[in-house]
Amino acid sequence: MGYVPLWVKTNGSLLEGASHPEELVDRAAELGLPAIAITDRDSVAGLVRAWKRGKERGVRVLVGAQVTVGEHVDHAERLVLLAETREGYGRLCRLLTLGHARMPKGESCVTPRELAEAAEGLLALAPTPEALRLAHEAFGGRLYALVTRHLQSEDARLELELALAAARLGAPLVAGTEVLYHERKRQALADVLTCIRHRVTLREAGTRLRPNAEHALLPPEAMRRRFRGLEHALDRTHEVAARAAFQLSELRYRYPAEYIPEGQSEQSFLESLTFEGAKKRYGERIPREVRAQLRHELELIRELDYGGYFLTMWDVVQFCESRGILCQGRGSAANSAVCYCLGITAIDPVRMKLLFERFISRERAEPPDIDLDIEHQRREEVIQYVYARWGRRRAAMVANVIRYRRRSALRDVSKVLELPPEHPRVAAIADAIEGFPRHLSIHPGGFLLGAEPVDTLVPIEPATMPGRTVIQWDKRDVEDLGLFKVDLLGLGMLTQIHRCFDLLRAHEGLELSLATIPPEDPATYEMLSRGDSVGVFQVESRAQMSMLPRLKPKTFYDLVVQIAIVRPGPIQGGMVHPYLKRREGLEPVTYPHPSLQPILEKTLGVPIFQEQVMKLAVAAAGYTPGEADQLRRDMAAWGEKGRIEAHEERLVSRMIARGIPKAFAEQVFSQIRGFGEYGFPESHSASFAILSYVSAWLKCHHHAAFTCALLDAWPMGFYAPSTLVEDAKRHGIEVRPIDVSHSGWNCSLEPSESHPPYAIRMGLRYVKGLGERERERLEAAPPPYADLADFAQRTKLGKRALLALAEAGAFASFGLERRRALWAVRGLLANDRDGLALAPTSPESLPRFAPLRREAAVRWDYETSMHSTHGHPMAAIREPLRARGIPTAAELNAMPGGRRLRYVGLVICRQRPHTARGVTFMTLEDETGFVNVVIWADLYEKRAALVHSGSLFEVRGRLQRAHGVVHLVAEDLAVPSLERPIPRTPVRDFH
Amino acid sequence: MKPPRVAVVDVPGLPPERRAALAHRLLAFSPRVEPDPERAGVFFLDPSGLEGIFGRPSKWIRRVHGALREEGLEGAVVMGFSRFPAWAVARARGGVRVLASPEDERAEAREAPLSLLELGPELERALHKLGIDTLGSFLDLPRGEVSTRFGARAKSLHALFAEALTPPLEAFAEDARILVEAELEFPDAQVDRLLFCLKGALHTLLAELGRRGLSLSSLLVGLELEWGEPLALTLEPAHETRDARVLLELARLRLASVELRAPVQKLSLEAKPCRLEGRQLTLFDTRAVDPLAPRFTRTVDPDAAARGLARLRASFGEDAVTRAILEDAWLPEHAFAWEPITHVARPKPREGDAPFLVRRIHPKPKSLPSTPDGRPRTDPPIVAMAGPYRFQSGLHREGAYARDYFYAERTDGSLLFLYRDLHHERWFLQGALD
Repeated sequence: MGYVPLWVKTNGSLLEGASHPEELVDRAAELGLPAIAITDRDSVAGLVRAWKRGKERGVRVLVGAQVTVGEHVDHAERLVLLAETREGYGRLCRLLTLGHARMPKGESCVTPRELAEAAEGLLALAPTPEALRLAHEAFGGRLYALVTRHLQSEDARLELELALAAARLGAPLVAGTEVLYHERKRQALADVLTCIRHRVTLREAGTRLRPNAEHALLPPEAMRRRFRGLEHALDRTHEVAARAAFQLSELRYRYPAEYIPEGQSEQSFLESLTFEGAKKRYGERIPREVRAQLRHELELIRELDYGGYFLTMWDVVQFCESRGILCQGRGSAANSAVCYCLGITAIDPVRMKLLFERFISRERAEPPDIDLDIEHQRREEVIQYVYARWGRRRAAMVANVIRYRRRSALRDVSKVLELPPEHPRVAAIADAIEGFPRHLSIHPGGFLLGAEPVDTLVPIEPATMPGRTVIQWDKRDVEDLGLFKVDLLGLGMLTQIHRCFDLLRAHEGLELSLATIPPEDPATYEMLSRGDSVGVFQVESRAQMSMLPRLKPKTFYDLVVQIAIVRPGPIQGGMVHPYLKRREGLEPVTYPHPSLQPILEKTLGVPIFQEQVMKLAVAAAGYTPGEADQLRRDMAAWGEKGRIEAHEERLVSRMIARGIPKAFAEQVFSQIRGFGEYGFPESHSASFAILSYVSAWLKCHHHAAFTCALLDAWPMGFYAPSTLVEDAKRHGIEVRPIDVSHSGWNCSLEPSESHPPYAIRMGLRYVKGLGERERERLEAAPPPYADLADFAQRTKLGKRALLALAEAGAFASFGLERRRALWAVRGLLANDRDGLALAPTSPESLPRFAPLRREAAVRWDYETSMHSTHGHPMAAIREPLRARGIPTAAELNAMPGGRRLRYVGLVICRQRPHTARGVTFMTLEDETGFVNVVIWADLYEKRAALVHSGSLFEVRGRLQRAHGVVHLVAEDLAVPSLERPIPRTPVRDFH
Repeated sequence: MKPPRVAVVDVPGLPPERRAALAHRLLAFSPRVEPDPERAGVFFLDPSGLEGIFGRPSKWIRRVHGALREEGLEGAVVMGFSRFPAWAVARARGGVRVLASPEDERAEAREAPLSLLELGPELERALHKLGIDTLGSFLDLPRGEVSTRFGARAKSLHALFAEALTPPLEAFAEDARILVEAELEFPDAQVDRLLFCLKGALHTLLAELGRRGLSLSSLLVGLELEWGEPLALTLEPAHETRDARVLLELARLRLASVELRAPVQKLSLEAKPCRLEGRQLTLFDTRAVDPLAPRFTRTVDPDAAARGLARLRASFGEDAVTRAILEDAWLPEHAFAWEPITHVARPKPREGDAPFLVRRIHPKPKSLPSTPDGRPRTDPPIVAMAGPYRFQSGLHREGAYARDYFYAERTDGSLLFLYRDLHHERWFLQGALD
């Protein structure tokens, strides 16, 4: 007769459990155990994965947790609680929420009174006499004394004391061990985790470690031997298992939707909102196919009971609109006409022929998942609205479980063992620890909302960030349970677009919105086709800039393809070149199989989008919808080894069996693997393409406002402010320096005599050392200022801020060049100490200092504000470079291909994509533009240290010109010797 | 030519621990040597009145520079008129210089880069930002304005370099080393004769300590041998003392335990001094405990044990006397360690403690034979065993281990503590209980 392990901790008990939930369940199945309790430390983190594996393996998973109980955490007891009923489980979650709320992050302790109030519907197992006494009154007949034997010298005494206490209190005995891992071999890993948890080395750990490996899941016969004399207590584990009847599948979840007008139901309200929105989108006469699509979607929504979710998303979007916050739904929600009509998404799926079933389907039986992009600087307003609207108990953020990756695993294990990372013992343990949870973070913007309090569904913990709470489950757990999740994500581009619209309204009286930007503007596509896309959403990276002149987008759909094609999916699948060749008419459009034509027609016979790949799996490899959906999830879980690989043989062999060439089948699988890491669904790409087009149009037609808004929305995008400023200057826009008399906190537009009619005035926010406190003081005392003394007195800025402004040249309007400004500021600060009014500072009263040379001014600019309006650092060394025959970027990019030359520039971007097979790409910049440098693997190996750390490079190489794109293929790299140093520019490194 | 008034020796990067020795060395060239309190390698010397001994100033500074070289030091020696301007010249130019006039000194000093003059990083950076990179441009700033903008230290530096502050040279004070050396008439290795020589030196040393009102906490005995490396012995009495007998006794014990590879030709005694505390008046109580005195006259001497331990340490080394302390570990042999002690504490038994078993651990587990049925064989034989209690680890620094421990009772009632090594399948005796 077997037994049921009742006290089991997975690696959801952070840095304590040494096995994944799945491993424990698998081992239980191998041992023939009928059930296993999952009782993580003050947590239910491991439950969902265990439950899911239990379903697959036919092992029932009992639901519970090990709870820390006491008036004070230093004298607390451990109690194992198992849920009998749904209500009992809800009380357990609430109990753990209380325990976590009062303790530092990652810890929990509940009081005996709280335990007593939560006891109904729960069983308690007490491993010590003290725990037994604590729980006795509250649990009564639901209490067991848990006798444990771990072959430790204390076992006998503890067992005797526990048995005596149990006899006195009338609690039956049940036997078990405290399971921390599925097999004994994991003891070493458990020991390392203990050391990490206590921040000690193995040498220092002492008795913090368990003395032996007796915390594994044991076979029934071994347990019988272990508990000789207490066989009846071991058999009683079956009784406990039968009583702990609650299952996670019993969780029924209702989405909150209580703000429904009287006389309406959830569904009828949704329908009326949808058709109202449809009229706004399509006019009074809604096209027939749209009506049909809407009815189809609404029927499915009603059938699956998802109406509340859509209403909630509509509610959030309405809030954003009421506050003038730009937002847009992305992802598969863009496949939904209902979402489009409700204003949640901006893509017309009917026109774009997107498949609604990609978003929701009967077969998938998964709730919808809408990601809402929000202006990043205002996302917090929306998050606080959600908390306010639904309350802290009904709205909680989903966890993001930070797991060990290879590097962090090697580092932590190496520290514990005091051995180098290359040591075999370190590598072996690091292998095992890879993928283990390290700590809980918050999923950026993922909310779990409920009609009932969320903390009766899953415990809620305080997050590190103030004002945030997080549930103990991550996105995957939430999906596996079929719960509703809302993702509220910050997007810098929306902030930038909004700012740009505001600037154009203020300066030119233009009222623009995402919907009213003129579509299909040839000038915009021409600009993009030249690769002139710095600052343009999604197409500004080095790789995108190299692709634009090849793809030459002319329509919106071209942009949708452009965004999706420069991703590991299509690149690894080798689909990029075939697509481009077919587009240029260099090769015919063919299909590997007639059945694939409808799927691949839009993209000239080449799979680019994630849905195409999934449709291929169904059409070409005969995947069922369920298999296709599993494929989609496995693609999304690319971080977990082996999941995608499990499909290879099935997919490829089935495709071949249907007459598809092997090479194509293997390409498709390769693309699938790449898609896992970063592949775009068509709807997602289309949503992004809208923003990409809008930002490109703004850059093309209103470059000054575009750049000004981008600088204000920064940090965002691909480039540093200095590159954005230089790009604007190269487009003929005047950029004016920071000055306290003219600059606001943000950048602004000022009238300019030259063309275009506006210059950009850099904002005070760019002065290093100025933050929110300084902003408040500056805005409380706006210009004009009589002089420096007046400025200092009115703004009451501190010494650091004043010196920073002086160094940045922000006092030039007072007739003070930087050195005199520094001198004057120091004098003011000294005089200010006596509390008397500051004497006016006239320039004439100050000593004369050597004037700052131009290149020094540029260097100071970069040091103080990350950019310069006075020139580019490279301009300072142009003469000696010219004397050596070294061209500028503009000259180089105009040269014919094949030429050998040298070039010197400042690095602004370094990338080494894993799809590029060891090739490193660098973008160098000078005062005239960019040069793209390609470094092959062998040169990289020779110059790795320089490539990684250098800021200014001299590249010797050969020019390559193809399809309108110019690259300098490096043959060698060096640091040029200079008479004077030039400042480093910020670099986007290896993203 | 106006007579020079000050010389400066500049040794950039001089380790602080060599300062005193260099100051001493420089005393050979001037009776008044002032180490700069802020800059470890800077010394100001008064060169006046030394022509009679050293000749022209240029010869003098070359001699000083030569002395630096002999010490293995790289530095500059400049003779000028004002301390800090001369130092600025020394730091900027290096080498050996005699400045012809105050005007020359001023002119050269003005060109000295501020980055060499140890102003401190914050002040240097702030001045650099203003384009003020030389001493001259710094001195051109109005001193009052320097003070208000950069603080009192900047003002003081400004004044020093501008010669506005010229305090007189302050010769350095002797260091506190108390060292006595004694040469033997003939090199000797006999302990008694060495002690005799040591006794005389010790008397001188103790007198100096007494003059200074100090005691010693340890005594370093240096033995220079006729050939081979010198020996250094440290004698640490039980507590601070000026008691010659205690020290001689320790010296005798130590010398007796040391193997001299060659006769001693010179010995030195250096005291590690300490303050004389009130308690230590008892040090001068010459009443010793006479081991031959009748029992009833002996008094309990709390220091006797300490003195005894000191003698043991002197005879057998510093780690000769140790006590057990508990360690946090699972394996019995790792659960304690030995630490050296210098004092013995009085035992303080707790009230009401019941007697308990003491488990004595062998320093090294002893292998035991097995019976045919795999149990441990002992004589007398084992009648009962309690256990196993398992200790197991795959990560231990001394290698993986897996042991099942048992308490075993023998036919004679004695209790053993033994284990079965699960890897090697052998029994070991770890200890016994009593």
